[in-house]
Amino acid sequence: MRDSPLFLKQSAMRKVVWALGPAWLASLFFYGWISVFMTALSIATCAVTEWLFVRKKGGRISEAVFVTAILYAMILPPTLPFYMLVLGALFAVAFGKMAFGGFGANVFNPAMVGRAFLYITFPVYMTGRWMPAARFSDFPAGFTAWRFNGMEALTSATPIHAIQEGAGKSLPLLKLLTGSINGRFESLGQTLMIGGGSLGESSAVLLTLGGLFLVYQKVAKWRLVLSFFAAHVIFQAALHCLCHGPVQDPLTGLLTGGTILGGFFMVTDPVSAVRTEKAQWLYGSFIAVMAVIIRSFSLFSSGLMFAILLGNMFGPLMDLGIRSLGKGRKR
Amino acid sequence: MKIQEVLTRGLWTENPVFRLMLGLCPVLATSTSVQNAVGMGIAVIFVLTCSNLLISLIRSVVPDKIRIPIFISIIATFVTLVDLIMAAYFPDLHKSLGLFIPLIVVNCIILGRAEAFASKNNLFFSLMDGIAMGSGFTAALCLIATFREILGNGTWLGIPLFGSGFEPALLMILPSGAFFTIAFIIASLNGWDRRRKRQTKPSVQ
Repeated sequence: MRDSPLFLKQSAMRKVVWALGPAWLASLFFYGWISVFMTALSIATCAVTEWLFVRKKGGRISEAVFVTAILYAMILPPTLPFYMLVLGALFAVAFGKMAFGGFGANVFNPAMVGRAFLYITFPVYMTGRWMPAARFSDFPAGFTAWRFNGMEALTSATPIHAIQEGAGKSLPLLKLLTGSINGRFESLGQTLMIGGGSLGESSAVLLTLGGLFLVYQKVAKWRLVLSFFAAHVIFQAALHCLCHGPVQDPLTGLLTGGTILGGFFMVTDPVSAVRTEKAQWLYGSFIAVMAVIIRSFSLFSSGLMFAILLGNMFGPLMDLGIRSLGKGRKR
Repeated sequence: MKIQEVLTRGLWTENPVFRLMLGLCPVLATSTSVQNAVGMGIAVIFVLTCSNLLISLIRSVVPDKIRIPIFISIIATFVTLVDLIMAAYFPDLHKSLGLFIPLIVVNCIILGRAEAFASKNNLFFSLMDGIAMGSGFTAALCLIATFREILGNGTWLGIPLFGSGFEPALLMILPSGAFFTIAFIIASLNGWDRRRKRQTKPSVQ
Protein backbone atom coordinates (compact mmCIF):
# COMPACT_ATOMS: atom_id res chain seq x y z
CA MET A 1 0.00 0.00 0.00
CA ARG A 2 1.23 3.47 -0.84
CA ASP A 3 2.16 5.78 1.99
CA SER A 4 -0.48 8.44 2.25
CA PRO A 5 0.61 12.00 2.96
CA LEU A 6 -2.28 12.52 5.35
CA PHE A 7 -2.29 9.34 7.39
CA LEU A 8 0.38 7.52 9.33
CA LYS A 9 0.19 3.84 8.46
CA GLN A 10 -0.12 1.57 11.47
CA SER A 11 -0.95 -2.02 10.66
CA ALA A 12 -1.61 -2.99 14.28
CA MET A 13 -4.29 -0.36 14.52
CA ARG A 14 -5.88 -1.60 11.31
CA LYS A 15 -6.15 -5.07 12.85
CA VAL A 16 -8.00 -3.64 15.84
CA VAL A 17 -10.52 -2.09 13.47
CA TRP A 18 -11.05 -5.49 11.81
CA ALA A 19 -11.43 -7.15 15.20
CA LEU A 20 -14.10 -4.68 16.21
CA GLY A 21 -16.02 -5.28 12.99
CA PRO A 22 -18.33 -8.15 14.00
CA ALA A 23 -19.48 -6.51 17.23
CA TRP A 24 -19.99 -3.26 15.40
CA LEU A 25 -22.13 -4.95 12.75
CA ALA A 26 -24.15 -6.48 15.55
CA SER A 27 -24.83 -3.01 16.93
CA LEU A 28 -26.18 -2.06 13.51
CA PHE A 29 -28.61 -4.95 13.76
CA PHE A 30 -29.56 -4.21 17.37
CA TYR A 31 -30.05 -0.46 17.16
CA GLY A 32 -30.26 0.57 13.51
CA TRP A 33 -28.33 2.89 11.21
CA ILE A 34 -27.93 5.34 14.04
CA SER A 35 -24.98 3.20 15.06
CA VAL A 36 -23.31 3.82 11.71
CA PHE A 37 -24.00 7.52 11.91
CA MET A 38 -22.65 7.83 15.44
CA THR A 39 -19.48 5.99 14.48
CA ALA A 40 -19.00 8.13 11.37
CA LEU A 41 -19.55 11.31 13.35
CA SER A 42 -17.07 10.18 15.98
CA ILE A 43 -14.45 9.27 13.35
CA ALA A 44 -14.87 12.60 11.59
CA THR A 45 -14.60 14.60 14.79
CA CYS A 46 -11.58 12.73 16.11
CA ALA A 47 -9.72 12.84 12.78
CA VAL A 48 -10.36 16.55 12.27
CA THR A 49 -9.33 17.34 15.85
CA GLU A 50 -6.07 15.45 15.47
CA TRP A 51 -5.45 17.07 12.07
CA LEU A 52 -5.86 20.53 13.61
CA PHE A 53 -3.11 19.68 16.08
CA VAL A 54 -0.62 18.08 13.70
CA ARG A 55 -1.31 20.41 10.76
CA LYS A 56 1.28 23.06 11.54
CA LYS A 57 4.15 20.70 12.10
CA GLY A 58 3.41 18.84 8.88
CA GLY A 59 2.64 15.71 10.85
CA ARG A 60 0.22 13.02 9.76
CA ILE A 61 -2.91 11.72 11.40
CA SER A 62 -2.19 8.45 13.20
CA GLU A 63 -4.44 5.53 12.38
CA ALA A 64 -4.78 5.02 16.11
CA VAL A 65 -7.24 7.87 16.09
CA PHE A 66 -9.68 5.71 14.10
CA VAL A 67 -9.46 2.98 16.69
CA THR A 68 -10.07 5.58 19.38
CA ALA A 69 -13.05 6.96 17.48
CA ILE A 70 -14.67 3.57 16.84
CA LEU A 71 -14.10 2.35 20.39
CA TYR A 72 -15.44 5.62 21.72
CA ALA A 73 -18.61 5.36 19.66
CA MET A 74 -19.10 1.76 20.74
CA ILE A 75 -19.10 2.59 24.45
CA LEU A 76 -21.77 5.28 24.21
CA PRO A 77 -25.49 4.82 24.77
CA PRO A 78 -27.40 4.72 21.47
CA THR A 79 -29.71 7.49 22.67
CA LEU A 80 -26.98 10.10 23.19
CA PRO A 81 -27.62 13.48 21.50
CA PHE A 82 -25.18 13.99 18.63
CA TYR A 83 -23.69 17.25 19.86
CA MET A 84 -22.66 15.54 23.09
CA LEU A 85 -20.98 12.82 21.07
CA VAL A 86 -19.04 15.46 19.11
CA LEU A 87 -18.09 17.30 22.30
CA GLY A 88 -16.84 14.13 23.95
CA ALA A 89 -14.85 13.10 20.87
CA LEU A 90 -13.27 16.54 20.71
CA PHE A 91 -12.33 16.32 24.36
CA ALA A 92 -11.03 12.78 24.02
CA VAL A 93 -8.56 13.63 21.28
CA ALA A 94 -7.63 17.17 22.33
CA PHE A 95 -7.16 16.52 26.06
CA GLY A 96 -6.80 12.76 26.22
CA LYS A 97 -4.21 12.56 23.48
CA MET A 98 -2.88 15.70 21.82
CA ALA A 99 -2.39 17.66 25.05
CA PHE A 100 0.04 14.95 26.17
CA GLY A 101 1.99 15.12 22.93
CA GLY A 102 0.02 13.06 20.43
CA PHE A 103 0.23 9.41 19.47
CA GLY A 104 2.43 7.32 21.71
CA ALA A 105 2.61 9.89 24.49
CA ASN A 106 -0.89 9.73 25.93
CA VAL A 107 -1.05 8.50 29.50
CA PHE A 108 -4.76 7.70 29.35
CA ASN A 109 -6.79 5.77 26.83
CA PRO A 110 -8.41 8.61 24.83
CA ALA A 111 -11.69 6.77 24.25
CA MET A 112 -12.04 6.29 28.00
CA VAL A 113 -11.18 9.94 28.63
CA GLY A 114 -13.97 10.97 26.26
CA ARG A 115 -16.47 8.72 27.93
CA ALA A 116 -15.47 9.79 31.43
CA PHE A 117 -15.83 13.42 30.38
CA LEU A 118 -19.36 12.82 29.11
CA TYR A 119 -20.19 10.69 32.13
CA ILE A 120 -19.35 13.51 34.51
CA THR A 121 -20.62 16.36 32.36
CA PHE A 122 -23.97 14.95 31.24
CA PRO A 123 -24.73 12.18 33.74
CA VAL A 124 -28.42 11.91 32.89
CA TYR A 125 -27.75 11.23 29.22
CA MET A 126 -24.98 8.78 29.95
CA THR A 127 -26.72 6.72 32.61
CA GLY A 128 -30.46 7.17 32.38
CA ARG A 129 -31.46 6.57 28.77
CA TRP A 130 -31.06 3.25 27.03
CA MET A 131 -32.72 1.30 24.27
CA PRO A 132 -33.58 -2.38 24.34
CA ALA A 133 -31.67 -4.25 21.66
CA ALA A 134 -33.56 -5.89 18.80
CA ARG A 135 -34.72 -9.50 19.11
CA PHE A 136 -33.54 -11.99 16.57
CA SER A 137 -37.13 -12.65 15.57
CA ASP A 138 -37.33 -9.01 14.48
CA PHE A 139 -35.02 -9.60 11.53
CA PRO A 140 -34.02 -7.49 9.59
CA ALA A 141 -34.50 -5.10 12.53
CA GLY A 142 -31.80 -2.42 12.53
CA PHE A 143 -30.55 -3.17 9.03
CA THR A 144 -33.55 -1.36 7.60
CA ALA A 145 -34.30 1.18 10.30
CA TRP A 146 -32.73 4.49 11.32
CA ARG A 147 -33.31 3.84 14.98
CA PHE A 148 -34.76 0.42 15.63
CA ASN A 149 -36.77 0.25 18.78
CA GLY A 150 -38.82 -2.91 18.67
CA MET A 151 -40.26 -2.34 22.10
CA GLU A 152 -41.13 1.29 21.47
CA ALA A 153 -39.56 2.40 24.70
CA LEU A 154 -36.73 4.30 26.27
CA THR A 155 -35.55 2.74 29.43
CA SER A 156 -33.39 3.68 32.35
CA ALA A 157 -32.09 0.21 33.07
CA THR A 158 -28.82 -1.21 31.83
CA PRO A 159 -28.34 -4.96 32.12
CA ILE A 160 -26.30 -4.45 35.31
CA HIS A 161 -28.94 -2.24 36.81
CA ALA A 162 -31.71 -4.65 35.87
CA ILE A 163 -29.92 -7.58 37.46
CA GLN A 164 -29.27 -5.58 40.61
CA GLU A 165 -33.00 -4.90 40.79
CA GLY A 166 -33.65 -8.60 40.61
CA ALA A 167 -34.42 -9.11 36.94
CA GLY A 168 -32.12 -12.07 36.64
CA LYS A 169 -34.90 -14.40 35.57
CA SER A 170 -36.06 -12.33 32.60
CA LEU A 171 -32.47 -12.02 31.39
CA PRO A 172 -31.29 -15.48 30.41
CA LEU A 173 -27.63 -16.12 29.79
CA LEU A 174 -28.20 -16.64 26.10
CA LYS A 175 -29.31 -13.02 25.70
CA LEU A 176 -26.23 -11.76 27.46
CA LEU A 177 -24.03 -13.93 25.30
CA THR A 178 -25.46 -12.88 21.95
CA GLY A 179 -26.08 -9.28 23.00
CA SER A 180 -29.75 -9.26 22.05
CA ILE A 181 -30.56 -7.82 25.45
CA ASN A 182 -34.17 -6.85 25.99
CA GLY A 183 -37.18 -7.82 28.02
CA ARG A 184 -39.01 -6.41 30.99
CA PHE A 185 -38.87 -6.86 34.71
CA GLU A 186 -40.78 -5.85 37.82
CA SER A 187 -39.28 -3.43 40.29
CA LEU A 188 -41.20 -1.81 43.14
CA GLY A 189 -44.47 -2.63 41.43
CA GLN A 190 -43.45 -1.08 38.11
CA THR A 191 -42.75 -2.88 34.90
CA LEU A 192 -39.45 -1.67 33.51
CA MET A 193 -37.71 -2.35 30.23
CA ILE A 194 -34.20 -3.68 30.06
CA GLY A 195 -31.87 -1.72 27.81
CA GLY A 196 -29.06 -3.21 25.84
CA GLY A 197 -26.35 -0.96 27.22
CA SER A 198 -23.79 0.87 25.11
CA LEU A 199 -23.74 0.48 21.34
CA GLY A 200 -21.06 -2.14 20.99
CA GLU A 201 -20.62 -3.65 24.41
CA SER A 202 -23.47 -6.13 24.36
CA SER A 203 -22.50 -9.00 22.11
CA ALA A 204 -20.18 -11.10 24.25
CA VAL A 205 -19.61 -13.79 21.63
CA LEU A 206 -18.63 -11.47 18.79
CA LEU A 207 -16.42 -9.33 21.03
CA THR A 208 -14.63 -12.42 22.30
CA LEU A 209 -14.13 -13.53 18.72
CA GLY A 210 -12.56 -10.19 17.80
CA GLY A 211 -10.52 -10.15 20.98
CA LEU A 212 -9.10 -13.62 20.40
CA PHE A 213 -8.17 -12.56 16.87
CA LEU A 214 -6.19 -9.67 18.37
CA VAL A 215 -4.44 -11.94 20.85
CA TYR A 216 -3.66 -14.41 18.06
CA GLN A 217 -2.23 -11.61 15.95
CA LYS A 218 -0.14 -10.49 18.95
CA VAL A 219 -1.64 -7.00 18.81
CA ALA A 220 -3.09 -7.52 22.26
CA LYS A 221 -0.66 -8.89 24.83
CA TRP A 222 -2.01 -12.20 26.11
CA ARG A 223 -0.67 -11.54 29.61
CA LEU A 224 -2.87 -8.47 29.96
CA VAL A 225 -5.96 -10.28 28.69
CA LEU A 226 -5.40 -13.39 30.79
CA SER A 227 -4.56 -11.55 34.00
CA PHE A 228 -7.53 -9.23 33.58
CA PHE A 229 -10.13 -11.94 33.02
CA ALA A 230 -8.65 -14.35 35.54
CA ALA A 231 -8.48 -11.72 38.25
CA HIS A 232 -11.96 -10.52 37.38
CA VAL A 233 -13.52 -13.95 37.75
CA ILE A 234 -11.53 -14.99 40.81
CA PHE A 235 -11.96 -11.74 42.70
CA GLN A 236 -15.64 -11.44 41.91
CA ALA A 237 -16.25 -15.06 42.86
CA ALA A 238 -14.47 -14.52 46.18
CA LEU A 239 -16.42 -11.36 46.93
CA HIS A 240 -19.65 -13.01 45.82
CA CYS A 241 -19.13 -15.76 48.39
CA LEU A 242 -18.08 -13.40 51.17
CA CYS A 243 -20.78 -10.74 50.80
CA HIS A 244 -23.29 -11.70 48.17
CA GLY A 245 -25.57 -8.74 48.72
CA PRO A 246 -24.26 -6.20 46.23
CA VAL A 247 -21.81 -8.44 44.39
CA GLN A 248 -23.07 -10.35 41.35
CA ASP A 249 -21.90 -13.83 40.48
CA PRO A 250 -18.70 -13.87 38.40
CA LEU A 251 -20.36 -14.99 35.15
CA THR A 252 -22.85 -12.13 35.14
CA GLY A 253 -20.06 -9.75 36.02
CA LEU A 254 -18.14 -10.95 33.02
CA LEU A 255 -21.04 -10.56 30.63
CA THR A 256 -22.33 -7.14 31.70
CA GLY A 257 -20.87 -3.67 32.05
CA GLY A 258 -18.67 -3.90 28.98
CA THR A 259 -16.21 -6.19 30.73
CA ILE A 260 -15.41 -8.17 27.58
CA LEU A 261 -15.03 -5.09 25.40
CA GLY A 262 -12.86 -3.45 28.04
CA GLY A 263 -10.77 -6.53 28.73
CA PHE A 264 -9.88 -7.21 25.11
CA PHE A 265 -9.75 -3.73 23.62
CA MET A 266 -9.17 -1.15 26.37
CA VAL A 267 -6.86 -2.86 28.85
CA THR A 268 -4.62 -3.96 25.99
CA ASP A 269 -4.28 -0.52 24.38
CA PRO A 270 -0.58 -0.64 23.46
CA VAL A 271 0.06 3.01 24.26
CA SER A 272 -1.49 3.39 27.70
CA ALA A 273 -0.80 -0.13 29.02
CA VAL A 274 2.37 -1.16 30.83
CA ARG A 275 5.41 -2.41 28.92
CA THR A 276 7.29 -4.92 31.07
CA GLU A 277 6.03 -8.48 31.26
CA LYS A 278 5.72 -8.78 35.03
CA ALA A 279 3.99 -5.43 35.26
CA GLN A 280 1.44 -6.66 32.73
CA TRP A 281 0.23 -9.30 35.19
CA LEU A 282 -0.05 -6.67 37.87
CA TYR A 283 -1.74 -4.15 35.57
CA GLY A 284 -4.43 -6.51 34.31
CA SER A 285 -5.36 -7.79 37.73
CA PHE A 286 -5.27 -4.30 39.25
CA ILE A 287 -7.83 -3.05 36.74
CA ALA A 288 -10.02 -6.12 37.23
CA VAL A 289 -10.03 -5.78 41.02
CA MET A 290 -10.77 -2.06 40.88
CA ALA A 291 -13.56 -2.64 38.35
CA VAL A 292 -15.27 -5.21 40.55
CA ILE A 293 -14.96 -3.04 43.65
CA ILE A 294 -16.23 0.14 41.99
CA ARG A 295 -19.08 -1.62 40.24
CA SER A 296 -20.25 -3.46 43.33
CA PHE A 297 -19.85 -0.90 46.08
CA SER A 298 -20.26 2.53 44.50
CA LEU A 299 -22.96 4.46 42.72
CA PHE A 300 -21.13 4.23 39.40
CA SER A 301 -22.24 1.20 37.50
CA SER A 302 -19.63 1.73 34.81
CA GLY A 303 -16.83 0.80 37.16
CA LEU A 304 -14.62 -0.55 34.44
CA MET A 305 -14.17 2.91 32.92
CA PHE A 306 -12.80 4.36 36.15
CA ALA A 307 -10.79 1.22 36.79
CA ILE A 308 -9.08 1.50 33.41
CA LEU A 309 -8.31 5.17 33.93
CA LEU A 310 -6.87 4.34 37.36
CA GLY A 311 -4.84 1.57 35.78
CA ASN A 312 -3.52 4.00 33.15
CA MET A 313 -2.57 6.35 35.95
CA PHE A 314 -0.60 3.76 37.92
CA GLY A 315 0.76 1.88 34.92
CA PRO A 316 4.01 3.84 34.56
CA LEU A 317 4.65 3.38 38.30
CA MET A 318 4.22 -0.37 37.96
CA ASP A 319 6.70 -0.45 35.09
CA LEU A 320 9.16 1.59 37.10
CA GLY A 321 8.69 -0.53 40.21
CA ILE A 322 9.19 -3.83 38.39
CA ARG A 323 12.28 -2.51 36.63
CA SER A 324 13.89 -1.21 39.80
CA LEU A 325 13.09 -4.49 41.61
CA GLY A 326 14.89 -6.38 38.86
CA LYS A 327 17.88 -4.10 39.13
CA GLY A 328 18.01 -4.45 42.89
CA ARG A 329 18.17 -8.20 42.65
CA LYS A 330 21.04 -8.19 40.20
CA ARG A 331 23.15 -6.03 42.44
CA MET B 1 9.05 53.72 40.22
CA LYS B 2 6.05 55.01 38.38
CA ILE B 3 2.47 54.76 39.47
CA GLN B 4 1.42 53.29 36.10
CA GLU B 5 3.93 50.51 36.59
CA VAL B 6 2.44 49.57 39.95
CA LEU B 7 -1.04 49.54 38.48
CA THR B 8 -0.32 47.56 35.32
CA ARG B 9 1.72 45.08 37.30
CA GLY B 10 -1.18 44.12 39.52
CA LEU B 11 -3.75 44.06 36.79
CA TRP B 12 -1.76 42.52 33.98
CA THR B 13 1.96 41.77 33.93
CA GLU B 14 2.03 40.22 37.40
CA ASN B 15 -1.61 39.27 37.69
CA PRO B 16 -1.73 37.11 40.82
CA VAL B 17 -3.87 34.36 39.31
CA PHE B 18 -2.83 34.17 35.67
CA ARG B 19 0.84 35.15 35.91
CA LEU B 20 2.02 34.32 39.42
CA MET B 21 -0.52 31.51 39.92
CA LEU B 22 -1.03 32.47 43.54
CA GLY B 23 -4.15 31.83 45.57
CA LEU B 24 -5.52 29.16 43.24
CA CYS B 25 -7.33 27.34 46.04
CA PRO B 26 -9.89 30.11 46.72
CA VAL B 27 -10.11 30.67 42.97
CA LEU B 28 -11.19 27.06 42.44
CA ALA B 29 -13.70 27.17 45.21
CA THR B 30 -15.32 30.55 44.72
CA SER B 31 -15.46 30.84 40.94
CA THR B 32 -18.51 28.63 40.51
CA SER B 33 -20.72 31.69 40.03
CA VAL B 34 -20.07 35.32 39.16
CA GLN B 35 -21.85 36.47 42.30
CA ASN B 36 -19.52 34.48 44.53
CA ALA B 37 -16.55 35.71 42.52
CA VAL B 38 -17.48 39.37 42.96
CA GLY B 39 -18.11 38.90 46.69
CA MET B 40 -14.80 37.14 47.18
CA GLY B 41 -13.01 39.70 45.03
CA ILE B 42 -14.31 42.67 47.00
CA ALA B 43 -13.37 41.00 50.27
CA VAL B 44 -9.84 40.43 48.99
CA ILE B 45 -9.49 43.98 47.67
CA PHE B 46 -10.53 45.36 51.05
CA VAL B 47 -8.22 43.13 53.06
CA LEU B 48 -5.29 43.58 50.70
CA THR B 49 -5.57 47.37 50.55
CA CYS B 50 -5.97 47.82 54.29
CA SER B 51 -3.23 45.41 55.24
CA ASN B 52 -0.84 46.91 52.69
CA LEU B 53 -1.60 50.36 54.07
CA LEU B 54 -1.04 49.43 57.70
CA ILE B 55 2.03 47.33 57.06
CA SER B 56 3.58 50.12 55.04
CA LEU B 57 2.89 52.54 57.90
CA ILE B 58 4.62 50.43 60.53
CA ARG B 59 7.34 48.99 58.28
CA SER B 60 10.15 50.90 59.98
CA VAL B 61 9.27 49.79 63.50
CA VAL B 62 8.60 46.09 62.83
CA PRO B 63 11.56 43.92 63.93
CA ASP B 64 12.71 41.77 61.06
CA LYS B 65 12.61 38.49 62.95
CA ILE B 66 8.96 38.58 63.90
CA ARG B 67 7.58 40.33 60.86
CA ILE B 68 5.57 37.34 59.57
CA PRO B 69 3.49 36.86 62.75
CA ILE B 70 2.86 40.60 62.83
CA PHE B 71 1.75 40.65 59.20
CA ILE B 72 -0.52 37.66 59.78
CA SER B 73 -2.20 39.23 62.79
CA ILE B 74 -2.79 42.46 60.89
CA ILE B 75 -4.29 40.53 57.98
CA ALA B 76 -6.38 38.41 60.34
CA THR B 77 -7.81 41.54 61.91
CA PHE B 78 -9.09 42.82 58.60
CA VAL B 79 -10.36 39.41 57.55
CA THR B 80 -12.36 39.17 60.78
CA LEU B 81 -13.81 42.60 60.01
CA VAL B 82 -14.86 41.49 56.51
CA ASP B 83 -16.23 38.22 57.84
CA LEU B 84 -18.43 39.90 60.44
CA ILE B 85 -19.60 42.69 58.11
CA MET B 86 -20.51 40.17 55.44
CA ALA B 87 -22.33 37.96 57.93
CA ALA B 88 -24.32 40.98 59.11
CA TYR B 89 -25.23 42.58 55.79
CA PHE B 90 -24.92 39.85 53.12
CA PRO B 91 -25.83 36.63 54.92
CA ASP B 92 -26.57 34.71 51.71
CA LEU B 93 -23.23 35.53 50.16
CA HIS B 94 -21.53 34.80 53.47
CA LYS B 95 -23.16 31.40 53.56
CA SER B 96 -22.16 30.46 50.02
CA LEU B 97 -18.56 31.62 50.44
CA GLY B 98 -18.43 29.84 53.78
CA LEU B 99 -14.99 28.92 55.00
CA PHE B 100 -13.22 30.78 52.22
CA ILE B 101 -13.66 34.16 53.89
CA PRO B 102 -11.68 33.21 57.04
CA LEU B 103 -9.19 31.47 54.77
CA ILE B 104 -8.24 34.81 53.22
CA VAL B 105 -5.91 35.09 56.23
CA VAL B 106 -3.64 32.47 54.77
CA ASN B 107 -4.11 33.57 51.17
CA CYS B 108 -0.62 33.77 49.76
CA ILE B 109 -1.40 36.80 47.60
CA ILE B 110 -1.96 38.99 50.64
CA LEU B 111 1.00 37.80 52.66
CA GLY B 112 3.09 37.88 49.50
CA ARG B 113 2.29 41.54 48.81
CA ALA B 114 2.91 42.44 52.45
CA GLU B 115 6.29 40.76 52.40
CA ALA B 116 7.40 41.72 48.91
CA PHE B 117 5.93 45.14 48.49
CA ALA B 118 4.27 46.88 51.44
CA SER B 119 7.13 46.28 53.85
CA LYS B 120 9.54 47.98 51.45
CA ASN B 121 7.54 50.80 49.85
CA ASN B 122 5.90 53.99 50.97
CA LEU B 123 2.28 54.50 51.92
CA PHE B 124 0.95 55.70 48.57
CA PHE B 125 2.55 53.00 46.45
CA SER B 126 1.45 50.32 48.91
CA LEU B 127 -2.11 51.56 48.76
CA MET B 128 -2.04 51.56 44.96
CA ASP B 129 -0.42 48.12 44.89
CA GLY B 130 -3.15 46.75 47.15
CA ILE B 131 -5.89 48.14 44.93
CA ALA B 132 -4.21 46.98 41.72
CA MET B 133 -3.41 43.47 42.93
CA GLY B 134 -6.85 43.08 44.48
CA SER B 135 -8.54 44.23 41.29
CA GLY B 136 -6.35 41.94 39.22
CA PHE B 137 -7.41 39.04 41.43
CA THR B 138 -11.06 40.05 41.20
CA ALA B 139 -10.92 40.44 37.42
CA ALA B 140 -9.33 37.02 37.02
CA LEU B 141 -11.85 35.46 39.36
CA CYS B 142 -14.76 37.05 37.49
CA LEU B 143 -13.42 35.93 34.12
CA ILE B 144 -13.10 32.33 35.29
CA ALA B 145 -16.49 32.47 36.98
CA THR B 146 -18.09 33.82 33.80
CA PHE B 147 -16.98 30.80 31.79
CA ARG B 148 -17.87 28.38 34.53
CA GLU B 149 -21.29 29.81 35.32
CA ILE B 150 -22.36 30.17 31.69
CA LEU B 151 -21.24 26.69 30.64
CA GLY B 152 -21.95 24.87 33.85
CA ASN B 153 -25.22 26.48 34.85
CA GLY B 154 -26.50 28.35 31.81
CA THR B 155 -26.70 31.62 33.73
CA TRP B 156 -24.64 34.76 34.25
CA LEU B 157 -24.96 36.53 37.60
CA GLY B 158 -28.03 34.38 38.12
CA ILE B 159 -29.73 35.50 34.88
CA PRO B 160 -30.66 32.56 32.64
CA LEU B 161 -29.05 33.03 29.22
CA PHE B 162 -30.39 30.07 27.27
CA GLY B 163 -33.72 28.46 26.69
CA SER B 164 -34.78 25.22 28.28
CA GLY B 165 -32.97 23.26 25.55
CA PHE B 166 -29.59 24.08 27.05
CA GLU B 167 -27.94 21.20 28.84
CA PRO B 168 -25.54 22.51 31.50
CA ALA B 169 -22.13 20.86 31.51
CA LEU B 170 -21.76 19.72 35.11
CA LEU B 171 -18.02 19.33 34.74
CA MET B 172 -17.56 23.11 34.67
CA ILE B 173 -19.06 23.50 38.14
CA LEU B 174 -16.78 20.80 39.55
CA PRO B 175 -13.20 21.71 40.54
CA SER B 176 -11.81 20.05 37.41
CA GLY B 177 -13.79 22.57 35.36
CA ALA B 178 -11.94 25.38 37.14
CA PHE B 179 -8.60 23.79 36.33
CA PHE B 180 -9.55 23.47 32.67
CA THR B 181 -10.73 27.08 32.53
CA ILE B 182 -7.60 28.43 34.19
CA ALA B 183 -5.40 26.33 31.92
CA PHE B 184 -7.24 27.57 28.84
CA ILE B 185 -6.94 31.21 29.86
CA ILE B 186 -3.25 30.96 30.80
CA ALA B 187 -2.48 29.12 27.56
CA SER B 188 -4.20 31.76 25.47
CA LEU B 189 -2.44 34.57 27.39
CA ASN B 190 0.93 32.91 26.82
CA GLY B 191 0.15 32.33 23.16
CA TRP B 192 -0.86 35.95 22.75
CA ASP B 193 2.32 37.12 24.49
CA ARG B 194 4.50 34.96 22.29
CA ARG B 195 2.86 36.20 19.13
CA ARG B 196 3.27 39.82 20.22
CA LYS B 197 6.94 39.29 21.03
CA ARG B 198 7.52 37.72 17.63
CA GLN B 199 5.90 40.69 15.92
CA THR B 200 7.78 43.42 17.81
CA LYS B 201 11.14 41.66 17.72
CA PRO B 202 11.89 40.09 14.35
CA SER B 203 13.97 37.03 15.11
CA VAL B 204 17.71 37.66 15.02
CA GLN B 205 19.45 34.97 13.03
